[in-house]
Amino acid sequence: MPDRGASAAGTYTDGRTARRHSVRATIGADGLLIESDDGAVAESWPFDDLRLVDEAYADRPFRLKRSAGDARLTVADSAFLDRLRRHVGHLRRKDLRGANVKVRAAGWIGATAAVLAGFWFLLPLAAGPVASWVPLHWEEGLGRTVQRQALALMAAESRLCTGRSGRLAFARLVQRLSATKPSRYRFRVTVVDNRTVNAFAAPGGYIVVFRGLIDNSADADGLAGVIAHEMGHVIERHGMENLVKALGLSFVMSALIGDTSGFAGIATDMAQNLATSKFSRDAEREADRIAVEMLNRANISGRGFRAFFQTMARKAGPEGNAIGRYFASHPATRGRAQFVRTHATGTRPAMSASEWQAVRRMCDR
Amino acid sequence: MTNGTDPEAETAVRPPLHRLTHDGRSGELFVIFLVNLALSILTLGIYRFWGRTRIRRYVWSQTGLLGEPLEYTGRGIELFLGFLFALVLIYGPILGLYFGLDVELPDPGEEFGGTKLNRLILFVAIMLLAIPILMLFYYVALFAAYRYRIGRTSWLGIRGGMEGSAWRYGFLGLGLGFLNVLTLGWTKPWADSVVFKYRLGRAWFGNGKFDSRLDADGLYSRYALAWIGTAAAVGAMFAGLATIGSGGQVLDRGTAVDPVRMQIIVIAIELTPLIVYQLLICAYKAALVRNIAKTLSYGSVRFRADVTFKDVFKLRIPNFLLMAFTLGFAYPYVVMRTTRFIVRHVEIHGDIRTAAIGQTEVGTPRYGEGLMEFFGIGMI
Repeated sequence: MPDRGASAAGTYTDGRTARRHSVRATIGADGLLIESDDGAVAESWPFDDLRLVDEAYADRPFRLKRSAGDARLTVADSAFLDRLRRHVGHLRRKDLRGANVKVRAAGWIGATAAVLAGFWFLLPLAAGPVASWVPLHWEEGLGRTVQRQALALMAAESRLCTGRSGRLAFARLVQRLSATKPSRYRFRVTVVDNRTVNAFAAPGGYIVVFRGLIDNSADADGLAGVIAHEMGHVIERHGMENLVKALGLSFVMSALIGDTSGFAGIATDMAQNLATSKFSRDAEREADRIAVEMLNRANISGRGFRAFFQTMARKAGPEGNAIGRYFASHPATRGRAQFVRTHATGTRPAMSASEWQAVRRMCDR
Repeated sequence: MTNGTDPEAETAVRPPLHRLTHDGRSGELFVIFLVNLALSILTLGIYRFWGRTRIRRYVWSQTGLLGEPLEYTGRGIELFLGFLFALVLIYGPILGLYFGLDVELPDPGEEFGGTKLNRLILFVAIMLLAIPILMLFYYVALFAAYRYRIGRTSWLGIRGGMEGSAWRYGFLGLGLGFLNVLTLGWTKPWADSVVFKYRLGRAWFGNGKFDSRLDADGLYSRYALAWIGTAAAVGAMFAGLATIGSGGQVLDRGTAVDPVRMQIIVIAIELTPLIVYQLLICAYKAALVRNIAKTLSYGSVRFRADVTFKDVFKLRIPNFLLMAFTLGFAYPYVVMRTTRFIVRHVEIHGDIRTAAIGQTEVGTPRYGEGLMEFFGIGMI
């Protein structure tokens, strides 16, 4: 090799004391020879064993070590590293002397943007499969927590409605509906004494109905439709998917902003709210489809469900009143009434008249 | 046939004042930052431990003394394992409590609302228990982080090290923290000097130990200024808010006040004590740094760092603003500014007799400073 015998001045420490030795490093036949004038240092470092301590940058000395041990060699002569690299190919990995900072920065900004874009598209696609891996036991535990927190948040001052015959009527309805579509979930309906027109489904089968929804349903069929709709969310794991999405998003945000700034928390929370506040339109449509399917198989009339959507559309004016709440999270109500009308085939009522009365009275004290 | 003089002979002749040098460039660090960012996002944050290691390697390797750079020998996997360990330590009890509570509390199906008081009592009890535990962890984390960093720093092939117990330091910090609360902060300068002395006095470089004779000398006047100034600002804040409150009622009847402008005024008033404190505490921090350097020694080597209020102010305030207004993207620049600040101000007096410094025998921790992750302290 043409570079054999090339040499450069350097400083050597042996790793036993901090004493610095002025040495001459010479490219030998199969290693780097390190020798001091006074004979205190006479080393040979095999080329295979040679490593750069840190990345080598332009205009600064570079440092060498062996793969193990504390001995170090510092050399200022950049040209010597060029020569050495011809013998020790793997040194090039840490050699950044020729790197253009601007080009590299632009490249990595592009890479970051590409990764973010990838997440933007992949997160919704991955949420479904990931949510389906979650064991039922976890999902139910999570659902219980979500239900508890949502109740504390949305109906803090409300008590639960515990009228016995009303609860039995609910249980029979849920039993009838869930028998039409076997799933791994056990559905539990909780009724809250609160005039908000609302119902929601936490993961794992925990369904919460607000009294306002019962008061605003003309008959049991409408209520049955809403319950079936919420059951559809549970069966399709929409809540779990949202949680997975929120979790992924918070990971990305924390990686993006780092944990150094107080602003990160705010931004992350905002993103999470955006991601979890409601189900997507597709999810709503899917839940409607399942609801109608369940009603049909249970031979429950869809007329009440349809009427419920029509009432919602009528009452939810531009002013956001109590009724508007359900509407806000369940948009495009007229179109959905249309869907129910064209697909519902059931003919029988969801409950007997006495059962329906019991449900209406279950919040009475 | 060496050319140039013997470096050992050179130091003996040189006047005994040494300064650190720094050759780092913001652009290079920014590229490392960007690589870390992309890979961290791609790995959902896990790469950040390797990323932090790269940043440290760069900053250390560009900082030198006697013409020889420092070296950071830590590895990403160590930080990651330390983090996993801390995860268990922190979330283990939390999850235990959580599931424990889940069993004890009745299902919301029955007595929702009725158990509210019980739950409140339970919550307060847990908080009273959790605060000291978290504070203990905080100081343990602090010690562990310093021990890790010093143990992974080497110069001239010689490693640093730290003796002492992180848990003992934790209990020391916890006790002093409580004392600070009881005395409304008036023991803080003394408490600071005790904890810094504990930490610095247990550091090693090679076979030589650092020594610290730190006390609270001269700290109290600066601290009193910050304390009284902040207390006055808090008083002014309440007075200001009260004025606006009563003024608002008057205005309600007649003139309308732009609610947005009102909001801004209220936020500004509420932020005043914080701003006053951050401003005045710079003088205290400067005095603390001066004292720490002045009382630190390594054999016959002495240190100085003559930073003033103005120096500390010019470091901290722009650092905060840069981070806040760039959403963290100025991080590499902030690291650079801080490193240069240290390099500019640290003076090392006396002969560094390198030939007499042998390799360290103080054991180094196997894992990184994982607990630190949960407290968000320490810039790099």
